[in-house]
Amino acid sequence: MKEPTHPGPTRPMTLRVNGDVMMVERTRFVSDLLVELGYGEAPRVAVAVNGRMVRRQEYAATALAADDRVEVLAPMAGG
Amino acid sequence: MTTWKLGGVSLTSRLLLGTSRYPSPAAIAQAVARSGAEVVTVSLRRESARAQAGKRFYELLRELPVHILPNTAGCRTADEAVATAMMAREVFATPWIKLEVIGDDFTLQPDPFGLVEAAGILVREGFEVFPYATDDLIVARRLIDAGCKIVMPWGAPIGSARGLANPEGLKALRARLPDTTLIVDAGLGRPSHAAQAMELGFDGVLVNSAVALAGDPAAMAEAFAAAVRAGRGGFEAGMLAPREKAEASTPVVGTAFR
Repeated sequence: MKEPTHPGPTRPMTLRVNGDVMMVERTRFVSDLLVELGYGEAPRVAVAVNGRMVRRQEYAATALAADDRVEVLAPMAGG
Repeated sequence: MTTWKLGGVSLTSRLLLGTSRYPSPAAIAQAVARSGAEVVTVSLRRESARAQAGKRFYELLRELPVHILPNTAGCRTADEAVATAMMAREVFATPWIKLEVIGDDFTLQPDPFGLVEAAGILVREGFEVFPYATDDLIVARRLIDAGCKIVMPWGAPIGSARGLANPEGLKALRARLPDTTLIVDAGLGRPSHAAQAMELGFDGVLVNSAVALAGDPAAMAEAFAAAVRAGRGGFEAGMLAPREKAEASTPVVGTAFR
């Protein structure tokens, strides 16, 4: 994860998403990844990049770098 | 009906329900309705985006008249629990967190050291921390020192249905921590276990498996709610202490044929 600077054109890169290696084609920011994963508008999820939580309002400004570890968690039953 | 305060809200029911392992999402809603439970626990998990199960579960919860208590189940370190708590606050928009830091896979026993460490961090971050702890008094004290106003000692290991494994320890906890909200969490198997915890003066109980895995979860939720009310009623009414010998309940004065 790095600060949003002036990223070049999107190119395929590898991320580790929820423990699985994933090749993304059009992902530059966290918001792009959520679209690429199939989440629509207002996804009901929480995201962490390299162990640090990313707030919803920061999705569009948080750039991803190759091999970042991304967790996308959703509500689930629990005890 | 009398109300009580938990984490800044006013509640009537002293039964907290887990939402896991029910036969269907509808069964959760029925259990909540029949028991009158006002707090339910939930969690966060990885899911496939295509499934969108989390969103449907969240929508079900939103329709229930309950406060949501997210947990950090499955976390093994303070760092994992803190990160999970942050994510839970983001998703569920509540400062409440049931803090679990598990120290052993076989007993699912809380790791008291990780628990105290994570509790301190989360209290400073503005969370209302509900730590899932053992019945150790000093651990509870350390959690209170870290800023917890609530402590949730186990009755017995999670899902074991054994009831109160150490009632003397729980009694000591209640006696020594009169100003802390104490909720027995985990290990309760039947309504009488819940009544026993409430008779000891605990402020509430948290039940999941015993309800979710019952033959009729909604009926069992209602039975637990009744047991919780009975136990609390007994505690508040002031119970007769056990005695060594018999004491006639019918007056002896005026007995015939003497």
